[in-house]
Amino acid sequence: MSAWYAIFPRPSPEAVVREHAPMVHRQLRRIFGPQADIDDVFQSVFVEVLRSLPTFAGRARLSTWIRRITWNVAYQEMRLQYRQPKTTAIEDADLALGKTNVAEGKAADQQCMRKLYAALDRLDPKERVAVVMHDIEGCTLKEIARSQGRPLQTIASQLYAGRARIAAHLQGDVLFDLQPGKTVAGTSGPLKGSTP
Amino acid sequence: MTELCIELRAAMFSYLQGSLVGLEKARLEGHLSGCERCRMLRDTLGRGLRAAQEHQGELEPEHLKRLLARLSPYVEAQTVRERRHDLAWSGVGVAVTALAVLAIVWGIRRFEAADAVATTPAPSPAVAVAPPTLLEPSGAVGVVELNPTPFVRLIAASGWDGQVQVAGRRVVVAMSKGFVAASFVGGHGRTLRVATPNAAVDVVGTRFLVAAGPQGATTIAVAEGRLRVRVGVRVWQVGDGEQHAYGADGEELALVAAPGLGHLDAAALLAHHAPAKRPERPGPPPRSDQGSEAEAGVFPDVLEQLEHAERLADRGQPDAAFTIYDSCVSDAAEAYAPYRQLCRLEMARLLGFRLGKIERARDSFRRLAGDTTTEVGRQATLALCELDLATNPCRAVACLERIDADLTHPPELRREAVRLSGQWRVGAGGCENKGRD
Repeated sequence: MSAWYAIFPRPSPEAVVREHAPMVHRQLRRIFGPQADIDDVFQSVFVEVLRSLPTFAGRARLSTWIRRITWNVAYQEMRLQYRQPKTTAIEDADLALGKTNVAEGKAADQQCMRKLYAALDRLDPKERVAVVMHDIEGCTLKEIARSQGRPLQTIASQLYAGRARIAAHLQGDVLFDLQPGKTVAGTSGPLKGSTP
Repeated sequence: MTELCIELRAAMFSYLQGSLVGLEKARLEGHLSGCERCRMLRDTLGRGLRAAQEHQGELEPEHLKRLLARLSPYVEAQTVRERRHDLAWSGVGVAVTALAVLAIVWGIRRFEAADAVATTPAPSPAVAVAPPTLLEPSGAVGVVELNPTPFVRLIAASGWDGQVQVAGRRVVVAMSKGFVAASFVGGHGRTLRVATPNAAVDVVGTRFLVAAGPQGATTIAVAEGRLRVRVGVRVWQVGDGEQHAYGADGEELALVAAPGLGHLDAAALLAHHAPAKRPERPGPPPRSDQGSEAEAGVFPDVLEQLEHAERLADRGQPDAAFTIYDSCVSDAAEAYAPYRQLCRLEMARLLGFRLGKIERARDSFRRLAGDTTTEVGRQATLALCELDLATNPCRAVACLERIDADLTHPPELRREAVRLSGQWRVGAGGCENKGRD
């Protein structure tokens, strides 16, 4: 038990859940996008938080600690989703860049955001974490490297590769957009040039 | 699309965030002025990123309530664990205080004895240690409380005839009369089934009530969560706040006509069962699982569980499969005994080939490979070689060759090694001096 919690009362599990549920939900929504079903991931985050609560030493703020757990659980979920068989950009005709007219207004913004998350869904989880944390959450490369426990250079490479793949997906560039090791439906193996 | 489009598109993010400067910026802007496709990318990406950054994902109060209801069993379980933890520390504190008082009293008495002065005996320090208060179950109806595991709580009428069987992570409650209100914390492969004469209720994690009526009807009321109720061949889902009654033939009955609850009001009962109002009973929970699991036939489906684990692993969920195998290894139930080594082998396979924990897998395979007369031993021996296949195929093939050359190994193992070394097909001449350790 930490010295902090020997002096100050530990927050009750119910209070922890009630206080931080909106923050975790908001964060997961940003990670997985507005359309994703995040209820199960949300539950997994708090199951993990409640399980680890007795070991929380109070060295960081509780919200920072929960945010880190949220990232870890989200990363595991991304890995699972990434392993599921996916169709390639060829079938996403409605999402291809050239096929829609980017109209003015909020609806168009929402449509662009959906396209962005559809592209993010196809990224390797490590690249996705780098892009979401840097370009959506606004973290610096140093912060990402520290929170993910990986070298700064690695994070920079993953960010660059992730951005390139997103841009390729948005431009409907199938060869560039392919996930490493995945195949285009109807072909027997990976295509040449499928990785940057 | 030109080579320049491909080269510049990754820089689009930096450009949109305003961090692209100088020559690079001028180059990109020059390209944008002449490339319609890249302009569309800029617009889509810019809008998408801005919308994602501004998206707050506000949680509707109703949605939040639903999410919190799903979490309530976990919150309750954690609260109980913390209370027990605090109670244990309080006990330690009281014991230390009592010892200290005892030591002081003993010291004083020795001092007084040395002075040969008669005194009245000091009050016993034992009075300082108050026994924990056992809170009696309350309520107008006779109530039986059972905590067969830390994750299951049952509150039943005294007329309830339920039998609780606990085997590892599975709890089965068989009942033919009375009612039981239950709360259950799921996860990690834990399951709870409540069986009445006409229905089987499978629970994932919730608070609910099951009542068995005298004419074979079953009434279900759910306080939180969701239940799957199988009545005959029909399956019903009972959701949050719903209450249903099912007849002996599987038909749904009107609640007013449902026998079973008698004078009991389900809502009041569930309210009684609410965690805040329920007294916590310290000390070991009572158990009523004295019967033999094998006799009761609780585990006819070990193989089914293992097949399920295999399916999970194939579907890319090795963690979930690992949990099932782990429960098979750690479960003391007799039914698992013939499968334990197999489960250990499958755990090691998951560790080595799916979860990337090569060294842990190697240790496990080594332990299992001791007896090559068994199928598990043979498979573990071959798997030890296969661990190197991805990183050093030459070493993997050399490992198989060593198995084939070792005449003490059973012939079927050596045959399998030869077959595999043919299958793994390392390029001819590519393994000269490379596969040796």
